[in-house]
Amino acid sequence: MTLDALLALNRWDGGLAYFLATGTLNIDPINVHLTLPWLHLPIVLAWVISMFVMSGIVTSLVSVNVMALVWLERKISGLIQNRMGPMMVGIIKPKGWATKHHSFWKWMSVWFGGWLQTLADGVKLLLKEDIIPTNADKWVFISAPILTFTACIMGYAVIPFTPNFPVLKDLNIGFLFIFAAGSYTAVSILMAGWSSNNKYSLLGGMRSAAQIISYELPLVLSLIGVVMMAGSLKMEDLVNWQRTVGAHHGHWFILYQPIGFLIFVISAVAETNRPPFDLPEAESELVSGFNTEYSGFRFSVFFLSEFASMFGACALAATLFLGGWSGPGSENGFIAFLWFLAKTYCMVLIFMWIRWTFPRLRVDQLMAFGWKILTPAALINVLWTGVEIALVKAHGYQHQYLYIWIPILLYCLLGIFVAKPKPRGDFSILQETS
Amino acid sequence: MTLAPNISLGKEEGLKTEEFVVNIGPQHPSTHGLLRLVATLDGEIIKEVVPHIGYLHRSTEKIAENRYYHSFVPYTDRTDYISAMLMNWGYVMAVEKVAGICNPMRAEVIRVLIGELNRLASHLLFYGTFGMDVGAFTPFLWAFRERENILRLFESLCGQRLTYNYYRIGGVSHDLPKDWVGNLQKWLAHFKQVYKELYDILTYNVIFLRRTKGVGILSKEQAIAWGCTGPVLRASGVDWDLRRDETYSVYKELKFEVPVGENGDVWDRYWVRMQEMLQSISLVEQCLAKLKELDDKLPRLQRGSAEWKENAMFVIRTQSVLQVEPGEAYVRIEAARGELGYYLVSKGGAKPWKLKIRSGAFCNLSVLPEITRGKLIADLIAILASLDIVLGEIDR
Repeated sequence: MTLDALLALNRWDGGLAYFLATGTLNIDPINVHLTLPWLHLPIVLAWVISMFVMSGIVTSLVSVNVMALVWLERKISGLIQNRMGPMMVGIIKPKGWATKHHSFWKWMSVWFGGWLQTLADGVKLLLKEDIIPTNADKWVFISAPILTFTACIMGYAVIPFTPNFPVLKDLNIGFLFIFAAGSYTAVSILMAGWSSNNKYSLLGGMRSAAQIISYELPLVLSLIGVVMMAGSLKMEDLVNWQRTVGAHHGHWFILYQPIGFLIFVISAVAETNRPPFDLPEAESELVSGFNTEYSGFRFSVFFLSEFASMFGACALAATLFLGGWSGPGSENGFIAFLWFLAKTYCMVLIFMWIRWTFPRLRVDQLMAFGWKILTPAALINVLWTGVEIALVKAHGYQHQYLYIWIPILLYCLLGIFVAKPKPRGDFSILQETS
Repeated sequence: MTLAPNISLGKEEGLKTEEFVVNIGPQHPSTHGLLRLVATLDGEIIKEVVPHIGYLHRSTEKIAENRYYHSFVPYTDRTDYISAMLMNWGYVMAVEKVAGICNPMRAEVIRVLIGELNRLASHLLFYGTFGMDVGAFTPFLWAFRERENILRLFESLCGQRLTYNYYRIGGVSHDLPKDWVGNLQKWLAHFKQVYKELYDILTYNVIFLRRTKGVGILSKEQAIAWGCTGPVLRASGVDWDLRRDETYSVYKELKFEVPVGENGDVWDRYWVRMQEMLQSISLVEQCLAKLKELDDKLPRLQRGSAEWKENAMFVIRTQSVLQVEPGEAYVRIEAARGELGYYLVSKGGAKPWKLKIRSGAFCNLSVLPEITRGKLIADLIAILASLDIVLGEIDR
């Protein structure tokens, strides 16, 4: 790696490494020019340090984000379930103002209430006693949460937060890397379940392994269509396709791959162990599943990685189907980052909405759904995409909407034919007024 | 849908598998109290479940032999604490039958009103916990919000939220408070809207249907053979309701239907209770109308007047130590969890000689091993929740 090559990377870590190696920093658009003549690190060392700094930035970004996510989850559940806490706590009303500016304080409570709950949660988890059960397999028990968290964080290496800030911008296997890294969670959860020496944990670990392996398949298959259209696995190319190539500029993949998107969202919910697919935890059945025996900080690491993996899945959905960081004004890196966050949080809201609405599936139904419905549907989607591409190649782009709407129409037809049970019972009592 | 375990355990070559015994409870989020289920599992499939009860045994029946008739009413609260009013009711009816006491009409109407309200609260709790047990968290809080309103009404009625001690031998402890009926009507109008929401979020949800339809089927014959009663029996298609078929109190004069299930599966048990909630609403409204009618006919005593004081003194004198002639009676009522029977034997004097309680949930629970064999753990939890047990009533 030469100095020129570092600059040619045109991204943050390259720039940082260049600065550490040469002592000169030039950020042209905002006119920052800094020279530290004494700073002359060997290129390899500069490169390693800059990598560490970048991964530190990503990790802290994710961790801070998780705090926001937990808060958001509380707010959403508070809205759906009429909870008091997330809507009220932490807004200190000055004496006498409460009645005077009622609507203002109500607005404050709705938007900012419960902001300290996450912090309280964190403090509680950190101060709790960290218990390792006597009969547990100690080292496996200890390493399981670390491995889970590592697997979740690794996926972030290729996610393009802004045009110039993915850690591994040039990785040509792109999102496959995310799944490769993410699959480690199956191993780590199984480790947690096995090492706890608890029957509930073991069942949870087993369920998790089966579930993650089964849903990895439709998850990856649902993205094959995207890859076929863009012709690349590189995240950068996929975003750029949506930004520039699509029929007109700014046509996202969700328009071309509606069914792929649906399959992706469903499998991602299953992959991140969130309700209605939270079988590994299944509070009412397995107490808390694989993390029953974990307490204190070790539990909080599981907690953290659960949210981190959810955010990762949402970021992936935003990048692959919703155009990633592209949007009006995304030439500016900061605005691009805001676009990315906005799209990701839209996905997060959908995930949370799902969580607080549905009952949980049973383990055999989960498997049947994954193997009998999602996987074949994803395969058919791949087939259809192939047909679509062939047709587009033959006729050009002018008939593209036809290809988009055919699968949607088919899906709607399917919805009509799904038998709906006839409601039973007499509800006239509800209409009477006393 | 069942998963037929067609692998022979421990007999395959090379791979040795064995059964797996899990203690579900006594401390477990879904055993609804202190119930211990010893489940023998083959992977996730249940080979055998043995319910172990008795963790909440307080020898209530023996205590009855050492208490005056009135002093025992609070103990009945502690048996089925989810529908304590109904537990009170059964007991006071048994004593009234042995002692030959007749109640004023107004007291009977209030008893039905409060009893049905408590049935509503009990079914709401069932709805919430059942939703939670099949993995839906939101219905739980929605149901508890509404149940809380009923508990507030009860609190303003008798000062207690859970163990009411409101029914008395010969009536109820006191009349409805001043604004109580108005508050109740306000809440009913609100609840009618909420009921639709509660019904819609769960009943025909695809996942919910898959989790409950065809799971834990209890046939008509089985239900009768095991002595199941209440919603569990009716869900199996047996049209039997003590309120109608062995009518007591003022139920004869009220109009209501008895919802009956078709398949006897978990969904039907859920559905029957949801429909019973509707019927309870209707019954409460009818009782309110009846109370108004009675008020018009018979003006109430002015509180603090000479007549009122005389009346109050009469109550205190006669009810402090009630002497009952020798005799015995078995009284059964339709409680929220099935047939609630009190068998009372008096040999004269101020205390019962023997009191036996027949609780619905005890028999309903006994059917659990029968209908969970070959199902999955998740089904076990759903079935247990659909039986709607309260361990205080089972262990007594």
